[in-house]
This record gives sequence, C-alpha cells and structure tokens, in this order.
Amino acid sequence: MLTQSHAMTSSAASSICTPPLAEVTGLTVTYPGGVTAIKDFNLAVALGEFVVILGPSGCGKSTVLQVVAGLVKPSSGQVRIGQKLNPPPGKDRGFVFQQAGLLPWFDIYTNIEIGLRAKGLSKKASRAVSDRYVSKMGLDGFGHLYPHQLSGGMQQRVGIARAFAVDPPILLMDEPFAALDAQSRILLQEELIGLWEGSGKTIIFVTHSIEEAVFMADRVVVMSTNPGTVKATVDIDMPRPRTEETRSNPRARELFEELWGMIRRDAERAIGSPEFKEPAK
Amino acid sequence: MKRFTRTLATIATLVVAWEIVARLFFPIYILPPPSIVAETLLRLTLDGTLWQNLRISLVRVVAGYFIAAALAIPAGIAAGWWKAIDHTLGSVLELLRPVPALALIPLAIVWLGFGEVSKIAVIAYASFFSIYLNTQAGVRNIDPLHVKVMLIYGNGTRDLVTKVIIYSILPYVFTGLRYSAAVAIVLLVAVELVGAQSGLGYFLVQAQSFLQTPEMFAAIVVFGMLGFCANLLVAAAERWIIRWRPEEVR
Repeated sequence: MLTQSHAMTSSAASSICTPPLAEVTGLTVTYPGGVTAIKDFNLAVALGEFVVILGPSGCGKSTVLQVVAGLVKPSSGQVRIGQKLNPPPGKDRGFVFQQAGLLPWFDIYTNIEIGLRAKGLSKKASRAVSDRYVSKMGLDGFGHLYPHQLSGGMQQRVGIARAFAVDPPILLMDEPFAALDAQSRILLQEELIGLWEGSGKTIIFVTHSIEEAVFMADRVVVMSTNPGTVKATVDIDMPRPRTEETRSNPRARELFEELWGMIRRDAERAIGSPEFKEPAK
Repeated sequence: MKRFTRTLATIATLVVAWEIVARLFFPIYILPPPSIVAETLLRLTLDGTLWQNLRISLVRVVAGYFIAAALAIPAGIAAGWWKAIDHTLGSVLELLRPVPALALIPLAIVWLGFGEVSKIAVIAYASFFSIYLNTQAGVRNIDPLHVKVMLIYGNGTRDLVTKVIIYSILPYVFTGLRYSAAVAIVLLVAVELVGAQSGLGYFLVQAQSFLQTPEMFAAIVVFGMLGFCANLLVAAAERWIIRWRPEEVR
C-alpha cells in the first residue's frame, strides 16, 4: 500500500503524500474563430476536496469544467484524472448541469438510472439505487412523475441524484443552482453539503455566487476574465459541518469581502462590455 | 359545453336552411335537400355499394401513406444527422417539392399503368415531403444538453438513438404525419377521379355522369368524414405515444 502510493507520488512529481486526484496543467482553450477562453489555467484538486471555481460571467469557468468532464478538448495543456490523461467522459466523473437536463420523456426513476443502466446495472438493481436517492432527496412519491410535473428545484434535485447515483469519485457541477429562485437555492446548497460531507467525494463546483462559494468550499479558485486564468486561491477556513449558522459566521462576511474585492473589477467589465459573451455551452 | 351547444346550433340551422332552400328553389339534380342525401347515404350503406368502394379507397390511401412514412422518417433522420445527405438527397427533393403532385398523375399512369401501383405511388410521393422535412427539423432541434447528458453518463450510440433521438423527433414527426394525412386524402380523390375503375372517387365520377346528384353528395360527405377521422386518428396516436408532454403544449 505504502509503496504503491509512493510510486504514484513520484510519478506525479508532487511534494505532498497523496498526489492530487485531478490536475489541470497549463490549460488553454481557443475556440474556432480565435477567441481564447482559457489561458494557462492550473488547478490541482485533492481527494475528498470541495473546490469552487469562482468568477464573473464570461471568465470561462464553465469551459474549464467541460474540459475536465471530457466534453471540450484542450487546445494545449492537459487534464489528468487519477492516472488518465485527457480522458473522455467516463463513469469516474459525474456532472450536474445548470439546467437539470432531465430527459422529459422519462419518469424521475428512469432519469436517475440513466448512468446506472449505462454502467451495466440490471433494471432491478438500478431501481433499488434510484429508489434510495428518491428518498434521500425528499422526492418520495415523485418517482413515477415526468420532469415537467416538478418544480425547478425538484428537477435539480433529480439532476444531483442522477450524478450521485453513479457513485463517481469526482463530481463536476456547473452552476447547478444558478437557474433556481433564491430560496430553493439556499435549501439545495444545504442539501448538497449534507450529501457531500462524509461521502469522501471530490467536488469541483463552478459558480458566480460568492456566498455560495464561501458557504460550501474548502478552497475557492478565483478566475479573472479575458482570457480566463487563475487569479488567486483562497482557503475557506470555516468549520465543518457547514449549516445554517455558517452563513451568519463573521468569518463568512470577511471572506465574502475579500473575494468580492478580487472579482469586482472583472465583474464591472463583464457588465460594461455586452459584446463579450461566455462561449456557448 | 357552451361552445359545443353553439356549434351544434349553428350546424342545425344551416342544415334546416339548406333543406328549405333546396326544396323551394332547386331540382334534386342541382341541389338535393339534406334529407334526400341522408336517405341516399343510408341506402348506399345498406346495399353495400358504399363499403365496397370505400374499402378499395382505404387500401390505396393507407398503403400510400404508410409507404411514405416508412421512407420519409429514416430519410429525414439521415438528412438531419448527416449534412452530406441533406446536401445531396435533400437538394433533389427541394427541386421536386414545388412540382404539384397532381401534375404527376398522368405521368404515373403512363409509367405504372391504371392499376393500384400508380395510385399508391402518387399518394406516397405527395405524402413523403412533409414527413421528411419535419423529421429532419426534429433531428436539428435535438437539445444538445440531452446529448451531453448521455455522453457524460457513458451511453453509447445505441442508447443515444433509443433514449434521446427517437423521443426528441416524435413531436416533429407527428406534425408531418398530420399534415400528410390531409395531403394523402386529396391525392386519393384526385387519382380516383382521373383513372380509376373502382373506389369512392370513381363512384363519384359515375354518379356525375348519370347526374345522380344525391349520390355525389353522399360520396362527398364520406370523403369529408374520411378526412375528419384521419386527423382524429393521427392526433389520438400522437397523444398516446407522446404522453410525457405537459398539457398546455399538446
């Protein structure tokens, strides 16, 4: 066991004991047409860490996540997940989209089972798992409904359940609560934190909400705009478990001010230049 | 309910007015009153003449329509998915589409004869376009997010087809199917008027040559009911198959 981890350490050329689970090095993404969305982006994420990528609209934070997911190819630089370099989408990474992205023609159960069935689980085994997540997400009695019969918040719960159900070590979340109303948003943040704490999963979470970042993250990676790159990394030194009280913690306020100070200029620029839009997802 | 009552009242008024006007001012061979038309319809139904002709017409229109659907749906999917097919097959079809299918009936008779083949071919040809174009539009409008979801969760091409593409295009396919059902019936009438020895359209022409106007009206009424039922059937099939849609978009 020890030798094994040593071998991994040396190959990853890292100074810490366990090598980062996921690593993005020198990532540059240039879209056809010459717009450089991401330039020389670096990020290392440790096992079990909750990392939030924070940035103003148009900084390319979603693009970073899509590259990690294997949906977008890097123009240069690389992504390493475990031992794999630039892997295509795989069952080691779940993804929660901004729009829940449920298939409208399948009921809630079947939507949660999309990844499980692809993994080769039987219908019966998949149903057992989806049934568990339906209860876990407070969706009891909704399993046989179609997505359009659910509210936005409920739909996103299903989106999260779908990602957790596959039980991937890494979960990628692309502004999953951005399309929700303010109250659902708070509730779902708390639900997600509850689901994650103690699960041992690694989460990379993209958002433009500073409160959300402070509330959930172990570490916040602040991105700057045009081209998108890492501006700073801020450790969120607040106790876990994070609960309702976390929000009123004075430290949360301080961290908010610190982060807002970093992105304010970029955010102003994003508002002031309507011609600059985030690349299509 | 209010609406239903009003509709019914309007129809009843019209029928009564027709009855009075026809009886007062017109000979039967110009405008038969509805009571005579109904009587004729009943007689033709009871003596089997109507069903005999209708059956033949139904075979033609259903065969042509289903052949069209069987060709147009796969062709539409292919043209929606592969640009190359759209650029080749698609442009040929664009050239043919403005030609009114009615104009092709004489040619179809020369090429395929007076039998069933030419009739079914013309109906299938005319019904093809709307189904094809709508299916293609359906493929173009597949939500890229749904495709991404399938990729992320490790689904292969087969699952992409059976779990996303088929379902995404269904509403579009049905739009095409509904429109084409009407087109098929127009073409049915046309091919039976021009060169048929049987069928409801042939019966209509026969009635005309003997100036049996009530019989003509009876045939026209049956054609009308045929169109009405076809639309109803396709709409019912659509509602049954596309059960997942919210009520308001149906």
